[in-house]
Amino acid sequence: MNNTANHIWDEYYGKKLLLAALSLAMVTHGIIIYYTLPQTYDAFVHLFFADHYSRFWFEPWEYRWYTGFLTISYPPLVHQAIALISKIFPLKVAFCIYAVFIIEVLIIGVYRFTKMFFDKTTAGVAAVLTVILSSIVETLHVFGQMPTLTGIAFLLNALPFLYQYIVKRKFIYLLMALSFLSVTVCSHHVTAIFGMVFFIAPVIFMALTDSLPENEQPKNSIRFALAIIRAGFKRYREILLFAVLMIVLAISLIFPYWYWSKTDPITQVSIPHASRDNFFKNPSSGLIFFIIPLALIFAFLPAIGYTITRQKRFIGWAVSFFLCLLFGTGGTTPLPKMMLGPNAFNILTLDRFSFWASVIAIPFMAKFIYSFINGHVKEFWQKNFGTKTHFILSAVTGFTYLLFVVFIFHLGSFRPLQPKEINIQPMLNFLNRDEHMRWRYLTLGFGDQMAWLSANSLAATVDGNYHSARRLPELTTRAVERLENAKFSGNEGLASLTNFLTNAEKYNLKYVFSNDRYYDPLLYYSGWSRTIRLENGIMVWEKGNVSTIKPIQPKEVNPLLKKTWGIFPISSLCVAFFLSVFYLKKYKEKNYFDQVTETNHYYPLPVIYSSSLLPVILFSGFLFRQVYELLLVKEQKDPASAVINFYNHLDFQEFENAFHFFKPTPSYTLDQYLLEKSVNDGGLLPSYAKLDSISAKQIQQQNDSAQISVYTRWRTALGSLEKREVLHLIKQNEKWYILPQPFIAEIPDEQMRSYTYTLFKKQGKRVVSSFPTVKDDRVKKPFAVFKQANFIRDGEHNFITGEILNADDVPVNISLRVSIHFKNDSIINYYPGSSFQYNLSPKASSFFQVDLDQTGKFDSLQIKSVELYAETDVSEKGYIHGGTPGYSVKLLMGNTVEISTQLYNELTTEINIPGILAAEKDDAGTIWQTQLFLHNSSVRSGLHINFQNQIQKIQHRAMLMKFPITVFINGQKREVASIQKDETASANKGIAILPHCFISQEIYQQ
Amino acid sequence: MKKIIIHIVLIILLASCYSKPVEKPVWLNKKAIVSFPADTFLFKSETKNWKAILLSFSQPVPLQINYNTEGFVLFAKNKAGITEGAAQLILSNDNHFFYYELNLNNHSYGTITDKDYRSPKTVNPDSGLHQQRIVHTIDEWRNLVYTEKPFQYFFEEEITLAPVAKNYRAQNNKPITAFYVQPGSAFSINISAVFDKQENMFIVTAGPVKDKYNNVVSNGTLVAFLYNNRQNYFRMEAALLNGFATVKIPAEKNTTYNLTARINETASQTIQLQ
Repeated sequence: MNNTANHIWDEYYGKKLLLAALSLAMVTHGIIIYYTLPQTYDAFVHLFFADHYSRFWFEPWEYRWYTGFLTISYPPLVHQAIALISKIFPLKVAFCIYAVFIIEVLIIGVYRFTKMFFDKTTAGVAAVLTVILSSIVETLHVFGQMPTLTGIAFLLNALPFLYQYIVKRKFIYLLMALSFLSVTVCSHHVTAIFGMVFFIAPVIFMALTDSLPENEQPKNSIRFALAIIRAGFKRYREILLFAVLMIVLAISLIFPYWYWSKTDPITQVSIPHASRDNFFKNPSSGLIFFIIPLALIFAFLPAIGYTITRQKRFIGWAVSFFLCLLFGTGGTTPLPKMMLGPNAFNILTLDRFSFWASVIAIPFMAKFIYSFINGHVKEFWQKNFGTKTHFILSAVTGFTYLLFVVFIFHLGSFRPLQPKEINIQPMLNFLNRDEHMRWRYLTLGFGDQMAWLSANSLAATVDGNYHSARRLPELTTRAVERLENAKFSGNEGLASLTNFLTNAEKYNLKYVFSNDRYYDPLLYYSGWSRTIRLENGIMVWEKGNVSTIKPIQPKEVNPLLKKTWGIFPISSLCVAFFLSVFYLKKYKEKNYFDQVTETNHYYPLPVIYSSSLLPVILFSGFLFRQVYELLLVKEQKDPASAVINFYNHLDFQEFENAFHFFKPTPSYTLDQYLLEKSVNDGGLLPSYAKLDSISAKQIQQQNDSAQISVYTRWRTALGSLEKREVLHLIKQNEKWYILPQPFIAEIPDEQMRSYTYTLFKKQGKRVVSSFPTVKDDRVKKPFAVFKQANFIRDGEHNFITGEILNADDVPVNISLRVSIHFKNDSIINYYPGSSFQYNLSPKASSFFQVDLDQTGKFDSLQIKSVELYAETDVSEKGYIHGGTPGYSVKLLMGNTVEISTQLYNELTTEINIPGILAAEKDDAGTIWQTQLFLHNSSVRSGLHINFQNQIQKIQHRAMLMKFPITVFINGQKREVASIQKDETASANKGIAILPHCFISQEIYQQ
Repeated sequence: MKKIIIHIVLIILLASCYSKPVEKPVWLNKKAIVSFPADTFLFKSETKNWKAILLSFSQPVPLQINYNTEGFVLFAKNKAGITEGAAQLILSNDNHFFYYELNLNNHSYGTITDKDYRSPKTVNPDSGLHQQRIVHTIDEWRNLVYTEKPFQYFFEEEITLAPVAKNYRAQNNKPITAFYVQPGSAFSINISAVFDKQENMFIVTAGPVKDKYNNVVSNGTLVAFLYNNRQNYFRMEAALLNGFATVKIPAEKNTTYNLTARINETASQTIQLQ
């Protein structure tokens, strides 16, 4: 066959494969994306932005997150395109349609990109490979990073035009390249910036190499470099023109973004991202951000490495590929941080470098795969090992890789990255009724679905899911991604969440939608009350006395910039589309890669062996590992492993699996275990804690028995808890079993228990009308009285202590605020934390403590006056604090006393978190400090529980400050009542207590 | 020639754009105060196709038009009354609008409604029993009507309520006008205890708890039963229901408890449980 015929067949196969790839992508990704979308990291954020543009196309101020932010903080094209599609289809469907469109553009891009390197058949193979490439599957179906995919899809399409422009110097190619690059710039700024380095520079280098006549390409490296520089100078006009126009376009198209970056730079504390981890220390991060996206690249690394370094024209690509690969290793080595600099390293998510490395590798992988299926490598295997061997090798590689891809599609199910899908309709209904939208809300335990709720509602939340745009100091000063998943950010996350929950008034935060009971103790002890459980199981918590959202002045953006933001980006897509049509009709040339050298299908033996066998080994190994983890892992091979695996099952509430770690006996059945568990299990630690760390130490081992000391550390919403216990194990049939500890239950006298509750219902007198009935439905603000208020200074610590009484005939919710006025006319507000009963029955009173700033700060600012405000609101919930505490106090060393509490549960429900609010009083009755003490285990109805707590008395060393405290109740200035002596406290070494327990049963409406 | 044709066409076009000016209709029976809906509006005009809207300060009322030889007559159909006060009559014909200032008065009051407002709606004898009362009357269309006293739209008085805890109504058959006298704080607490052998418990009852005006103290009021033995000080809480709060305290062998019931600063006598 002559050369022309070869080209015809090559083009035929190439296009056939391209069409196959496009069709395959449509039926695979097109179908699956709708189902994987809810489990992705980012899809809902982009949907939220799309919803913004759908509602307010020319208005960049988005008030629904973070008390307001500018959407010019992210290039808008992807969101605007989805917004446009959403005018016809529902938002989620619009996203899916856009995703399919981008995948198709990407496949075409890869096909055209590969043609710069090799023949069209190889490009066709590359197109097919793109459909099933793990990095692309993961980016789409696990991460949902649509802007990244859009950016790379149009960038790849731009590169061949740029190459042609440098080689042939025709203006139409420059125009086409710039039009596609414009779309990249408007879609994803990071791809645009780094694309210049990792994609455009190698293309220019390759074009310059190809522009050298073949006989003038020196073998010597230095001479070659000089030749390239000379070639560059010969084409400096083209390069300069491209660079200038590119910079002008990049700046002008998304000028508001650059303006925002310059005028409002990101100054927040870096948020940890698993892609920056040391993958040896955190293998799970390595799996998600390095192994999965690069699995195929590792499998073909010898072939890629060989081909990419074989020709001088590929040198630029080799540098890009290995650099991306290196940056993709995150914090495994110090090199990425050194090369990128600490700032860029801490802002960027490094998984995108792995993604780009995988994209650069596609042509080189495709070349080897093509050779393995129908080329030199195939001939080698068939000639040396027979057709069957080659067939088996191909089949096993293909089959195991496809299983691997299926695993990625379902990664969200195997390793849940998000909570289960939540039906948002009940929450939308809740926000829409009774003017609930006039306050802010917060979601807890929603994952990225919080963005989906926001996208469907006009209500505002204090949280958000685009942390680059947040400017609230409470969020930017802590390494917390979102408030809603605060528990995953450790102590910093919970501190930040606590800040928002206690300072709710500051943010007009009134409602919390909780999908995770982990936060219940924190909510309850921060003064939140449960309002209603919605049909979807979400519990709505409410805080009383929170004022409605006040209008916030949006950040000013020039009206002209607003218009350009709404017009330029979407225009870039339209221009690219029309120019493509124009180009295809007018300029499209056949065989325009005539300057590309013929594809050399030769591979040396070591590359053939390694690149043929590595995929089989890797993917089969992966498959076996999955099977092993599921079926064959020996969880009870030694005493320590048995204990650790037992706790792991307990942590995930897999009680049946945990039970199998106990010594099998006829008397200790699963039923007995669950029964004992239900009787003595419950409370802060078993029900509201997450296992943070565990260590098992073998104390002794004799033949077939062992003793293990277990130390567990648990994270709760109220802080960390530690537990130590000793477990006895025995060995039976090569497995270690735990011996169940003897269980002695307290048995109450009564068989039936009765208790009279007085419950309230705030029914109001509202006329059924969507207009507020102004006067008649208002319930008056209940009366309250400050029984005492004291400014205490204990060294560096300052706090206001006191006692407040509900003087009314209805239960109340009280919010306290301390306002300190300084001599420089500044005011700082402080709110109580958990040392206060926020809800009080009629004529009930509570101690309180409001922590203030450090003495040093107060001394420097100089206090002018101190004001204490109480706002009251009628409450129908939360006023039952449960249990009958009996206590005695023992003096320990120094001024430390031990409070021994015996709590009797006389109620008809379990007290889930028994607790007491303790106050230190002096002989006159002045309160010096207040502390909340909680016990880890629950107490069942009719039973008792004992616990001890220590408190350091401070009245001997602390000072009662003489600042007069002006008190206000519901805005009215009031007098503080005279302090009364407390005989009970005096009899107990100055300690007075109140019960302060959490009851999870909703019927009691705590 | 071409130029002449173009000029002719332009002149024709200009002529076709001309429309006859609409003259403002003359209100023949103009009055400073119009009685609604009895009075009609008589206008003189040569033009037809009028639309008429009467704008009171709170609502627009479309008027019906009957044309006659001299002009037209406007009248309200199916409307018995309106919010009184300054109003505007708007006559429109295509893009021409004419405005006429007037004052509206209803021809009749329709159904008269009395309004009786009380503030505060809830009073508590602990703080005071004073209440402010404002009375006024409105007609069917929410216009103020003179009260019984001549030339007075409002009647206001300060009253002292009886210290009897109860829900009252300012106007009979109108629950929305209800106001409340709450019971005050506990004045004294009676306490009694019995030992229930069967359950091995002391049943302690506080009550009837009343305020200084002999009202039963409100439901839900927290009663703290404070009792102690030699080792511990206990605090059991219960809510009042109809003036009584009862708790069951488990008895222990050879243990005597001293018990006091407290509501805020009011304490009962101390009793012994043994």
